Amino acid sequence: MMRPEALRWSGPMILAAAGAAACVGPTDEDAVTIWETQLVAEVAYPGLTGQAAAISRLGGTDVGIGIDGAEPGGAQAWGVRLGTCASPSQQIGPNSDYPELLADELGSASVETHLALRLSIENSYYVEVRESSTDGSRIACGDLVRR
Amino acid sequence: MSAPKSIHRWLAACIALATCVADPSLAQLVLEGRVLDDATERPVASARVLLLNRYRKVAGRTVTDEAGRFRFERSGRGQYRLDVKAVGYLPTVTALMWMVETGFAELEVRLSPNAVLLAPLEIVALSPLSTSAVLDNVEHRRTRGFGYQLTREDIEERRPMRLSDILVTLPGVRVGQGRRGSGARSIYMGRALPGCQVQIFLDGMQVNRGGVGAGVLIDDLVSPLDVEVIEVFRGLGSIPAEFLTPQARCGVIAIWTQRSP
Repeated sequence: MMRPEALRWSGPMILAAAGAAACVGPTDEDAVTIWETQLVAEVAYPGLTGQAAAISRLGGTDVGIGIDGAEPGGAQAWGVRLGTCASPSQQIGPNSDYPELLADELGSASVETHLALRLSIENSYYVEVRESSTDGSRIACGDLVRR
Repeated sequence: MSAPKSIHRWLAACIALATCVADPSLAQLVLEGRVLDDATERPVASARVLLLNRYRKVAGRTVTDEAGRFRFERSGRGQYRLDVKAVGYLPTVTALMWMVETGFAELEVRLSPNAVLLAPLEIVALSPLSTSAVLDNVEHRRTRGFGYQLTREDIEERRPMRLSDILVTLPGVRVGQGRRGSGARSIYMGRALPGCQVQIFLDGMQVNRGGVGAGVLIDDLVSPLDVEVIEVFRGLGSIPAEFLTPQARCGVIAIWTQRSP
């Protein structure tokens, strides 16, 4: 027979266990988050526009980016980074995770990649487009917003 | 503008394009032209001129000067058309023109006046604008330059039996096996595998959400005769926020029918 003191603690313990189970349950594990942004060009690139979107789930994150108004034939580097455009931080994954944006004859380019990491709703992320793989100057940026 | 007159003009323009002397010193194609009032033959200033590629993607935009002149410089050959609008005139979209890699071409676009007889002003009632908000959004997405669009005009030009017949003419769009007997085919995009199902929106409503409607084939949904515009977004980099879904990486097709409000 359970002692009264044990009974007093068993209620909160059961509730806590149930709560913990709910937090790590399949609903959260399988949840898909969608992120998007409209890229804002730096002043020196007034004709450049673009957008990026990310779909993140347990298995990783699919990210796509499209730009327009770039120099035809040009190759721009890009990446998803921690932080915001105003408060930048390190890139998620190596540069090799991000295929270059190769602009067509109309100055448009789009590319997709898969990152092994799941984006956390606790963090802020942004997408940065750089001059090239060798020149890290930022030419456009956009803070990813979760939908 | 009468149809024969219009055909004659564009025939002349195409001949001019084909016979223009390519100057080897030019590094790219230069397309110049004038926009004229079809009735008075006066230049139309401040007309908005869009240069569209064969998929109606905006390749350039400009506004005519006081003399009604416009100019585009392009590198790379291709098929282009002009979309011209000016206040007080009916909008005009030209036929497709072939352009070679280098050279110079001059065009003349004539706009028919859209005359409005002005009477002493007397407002008796207010009615909503006759423009379609849906099509305004489509136009907005087109001018932003992402994705491809097929219009009613494209469909009438090519007279497809099924929607998939015209969709496969777009870059990166492939057809898969369809349902036996019906002739309807499934659509895939880019490098997506056949299991990666394109997300289909009909008049703004997603048709195949998750498991619901998973077997829906685009050819079964709507006849080409009923379509006003089809928008095709091949990947995450081009899909507008309003069409982003968890499966959007497989591509999105948005169909707007002629009944759309």
